[in-house]
Amino acid sequence: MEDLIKQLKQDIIEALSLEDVVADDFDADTPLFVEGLGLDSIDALELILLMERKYGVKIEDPKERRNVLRNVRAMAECIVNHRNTNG
Amino acid sequence: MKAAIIASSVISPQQTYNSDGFPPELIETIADHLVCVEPDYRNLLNPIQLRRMPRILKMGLACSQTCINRADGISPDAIIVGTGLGCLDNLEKFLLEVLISNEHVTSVLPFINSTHNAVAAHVAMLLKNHNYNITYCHRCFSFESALQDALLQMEEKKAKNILVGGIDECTNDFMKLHGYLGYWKDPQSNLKLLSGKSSGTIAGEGSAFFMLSGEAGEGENRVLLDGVHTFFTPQKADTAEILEEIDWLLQKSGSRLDEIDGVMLGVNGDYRFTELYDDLQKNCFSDNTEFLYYKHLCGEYYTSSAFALWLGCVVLRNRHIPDALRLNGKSGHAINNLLIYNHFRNKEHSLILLRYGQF
Repeated sequence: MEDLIKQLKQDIIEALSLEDVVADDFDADTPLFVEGLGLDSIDALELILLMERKYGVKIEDPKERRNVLRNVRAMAECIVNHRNTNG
Repeated sequence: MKAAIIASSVISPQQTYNSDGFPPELIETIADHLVCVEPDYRNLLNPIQLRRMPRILKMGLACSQTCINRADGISPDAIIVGTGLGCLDNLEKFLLEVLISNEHVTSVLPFINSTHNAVAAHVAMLLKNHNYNITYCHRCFSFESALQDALLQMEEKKAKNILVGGIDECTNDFMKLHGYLGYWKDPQSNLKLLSGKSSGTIAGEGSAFFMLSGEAGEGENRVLLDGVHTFFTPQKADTAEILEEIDWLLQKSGSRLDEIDGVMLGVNGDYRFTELYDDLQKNCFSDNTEFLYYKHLCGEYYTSSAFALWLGCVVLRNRHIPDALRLNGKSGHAINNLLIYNHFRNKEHSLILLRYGQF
């Protein structure tokens, strides 16, 4: 899980072009939106795409998306659950 | 109709951003294309917005913002931009993603920022400006069309102060595709663009913004935009035909050919397209006319005449012609009436008339 969190942090920085942010600037429980990293709805679309393209996780339900994208740990848990469910 | 050019700003392959004068030293690049010297955008633009912006957008916003600052913060009554290819880099990214994803899900940002009017729109959003906002995308007429629209807006009293820009970027794919068509020279020094006889030219890019005003302070000498004229694929494409077009523009602005004491030519080092420029230079103007050129500093791109206009403003305002711009050996007088003539592969021809004097 920790390796996945580390990788996800790097993926987020790259996908969102967070030029002045490094992985150590935020932890797994830092809120991604509004406070914390201060991301917005356009970033949310990019993160949904990241989850789908790189990790094969498709989240259709808007409520679930909101829950999964609240922080890096929630994203990692979603990916692990998806892997466990789909082998 | 004429307009005073009260402020300008340019980002180009030379060190032109920080001051509004001719750069003290020129940058020599040995390549088939020139790349802009860009400022540190973090000092100029919101970092959160910055991370989403493609390079061309950053260049456009920084340049327009500087131009407005130099115009003492005037809020323009209209924003008009000319771009031949718009946000090309993002458009290429977006189309590539469509292809790779087999027309399924694509990233959001390259799509949002891939439209031609993204620069003009972002300038307006940054300024919270809800006035007339339009982008012209007419290949090599793009910037000239923006200037013509600005003059018409002023003539119809719809706008007093207008921000006009010309912007284009060079990308790897653009270079590759146009390279197949024989557009470019083998890598060579930009400062020796006109030496030797070979086909092709050096590509370039740039962003230039101008604040035009339909009113200007009395008793003060300014650079005046006195007319813009475009014509497409002239039938004979000989000097007589070009002179007819020049006469048309001069008559419209109430002046004569012998009053033109400076001509800035869009000669680009491609021997296939230099004949007209050579003939004009040798046969059509008075002996005292200064001939200048500019594409060795900015390269060839669809809105390179915006860079020429900026250089023209510098030459007229400073009352001095830098040696690096001279095509002929004249060295005497300062220019008062400057004609900028450019054509793109003998198809799109454009004339821009500038004067130095009172409004």
